[in-house]
Amino acid sequence: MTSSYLELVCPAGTPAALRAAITAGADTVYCGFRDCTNARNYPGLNFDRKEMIEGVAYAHARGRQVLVAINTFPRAGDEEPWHRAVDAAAEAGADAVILADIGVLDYATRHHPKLRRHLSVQASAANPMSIMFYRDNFDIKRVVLPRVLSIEDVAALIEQTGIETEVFAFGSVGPMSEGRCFLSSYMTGISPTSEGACAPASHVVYKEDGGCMKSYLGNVALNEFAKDEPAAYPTPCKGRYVTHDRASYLFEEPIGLNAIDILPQLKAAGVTALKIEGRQRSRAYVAQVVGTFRKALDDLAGGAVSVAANDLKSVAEGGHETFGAYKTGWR
Amino acid sequence: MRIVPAPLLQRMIDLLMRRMRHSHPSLFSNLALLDSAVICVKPSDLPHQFVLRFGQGPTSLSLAKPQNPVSDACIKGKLEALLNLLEGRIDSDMLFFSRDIEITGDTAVIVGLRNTLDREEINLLDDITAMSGPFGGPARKMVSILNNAAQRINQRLANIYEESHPPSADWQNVQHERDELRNEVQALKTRLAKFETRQKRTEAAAQ
Repeated sequence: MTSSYLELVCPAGTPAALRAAITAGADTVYCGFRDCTNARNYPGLNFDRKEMIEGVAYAHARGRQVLVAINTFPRAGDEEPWHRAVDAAAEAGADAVILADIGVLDYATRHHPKLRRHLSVQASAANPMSIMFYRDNFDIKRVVLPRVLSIEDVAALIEQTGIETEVFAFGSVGPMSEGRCFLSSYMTGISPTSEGACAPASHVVYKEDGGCMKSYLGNVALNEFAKDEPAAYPTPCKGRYVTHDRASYLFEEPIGLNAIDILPQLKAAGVTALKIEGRQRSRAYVAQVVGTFRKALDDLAGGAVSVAANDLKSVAEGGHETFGAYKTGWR
Repeated sequence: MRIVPAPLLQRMIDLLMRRMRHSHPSLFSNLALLDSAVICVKPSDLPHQFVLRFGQGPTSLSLAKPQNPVSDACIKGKLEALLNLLEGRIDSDMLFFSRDIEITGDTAVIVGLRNTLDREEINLLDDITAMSGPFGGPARKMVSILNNAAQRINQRLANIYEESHPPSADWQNVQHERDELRNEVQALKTRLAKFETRQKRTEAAAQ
């Protein structure tokens, strides 16, 4: 199934989530291997080679596509895992690979020229010069845009580059400097960009203290939630830090991005595909979010001028939603 | 389950685990891939606590006893929430955001377990229905009651969010107002800095 309106690109952290996404109406599913070559390298998550082959076959049998995220950055002198991952994605019959590192892009271009290449958001390519560099040197067919652009910015960028764009429609909001953020590295000594895990679970600790919950990353206290106060992810950018005797969210508040109410504007801007974030989320989340967006896209494709009220607030971080930079631009 | 004596409950658990090993072999092989861990499961509305062992050996679930070793991590929540998580019917992050589940200890252990369980499509009622013997009947009745309760938890969570959070449009208005206030504060700070600079220059000139 390929949407006549906007392609719906959905997350799958496990084979069960892949099946859930396809059942819920995903046009395309993206997933990663069970190692450090993708940016969601968490315990128990992702696909081994056999599962990837089976997942691609399952999707193709239903007319859907599978993209493989190989979007972390190789450690110096240790490129082999990334090269093997590109080879394995090609062997599995993936429809495209989502890459960020120029060395991995070069490898894929030279060794698998027929394998379609998408530029990951981890490359943080948010301006025409950057995107055209990747397009001209590595023949990328699509760019996943960072969440720092307004709809007008997106439209102008599409006009200037003439390349397919995929934008985030549902997920998180943070400093949005993917591939260049060192906050988690600073606190844990583990690089999200080469190890594939921001705020790795091995360094996260929760403590109960008289009804309050405290979260820590390494030795750094990130947050303290009063009894019944909604909790946030234990990532450094969502920490509530004390400055001038006052605790506040210095980087970003716990809030979720939801663009479901501005899909016509994104379509009018020339966007090709919508990305749902959440490979580390459960298949229940995948089914709920994908199903909601599928219905919205089908309604719009059928001539509706707007989508019905959605019920995704409960799965959004902090229970709150925002249009992010789409309406107001980035700070 | 409140009135089920501990030995009887342990026997039911053993039978269910045996059944699940048969019906979900990949779940147990995936659990064996994880690092060895002991997790304490605390249903907040039951008098019992459970100890789950997995990784690098046989997986086991047993009733907690005083002499049990210290666990690597604990997960606490209402039984309905825990069963919904087991069956993948509810998003664990949503339960975490809403504080309906609490986790303490080694988070990597909990994340590994959560992701491994989520790989498997488990229907506890099917597994219990397939159980035979004297415990099959009571267990089926118990799960049926829990299933009904499980339906309610999703609705309750949705209601909680509706009540505790303003509608999206209102929230976006609040955001807009917040952004305007930030801009205003920034502008005032800039004016203040300029004023202070000018004042210093004036004072310096007077000296």
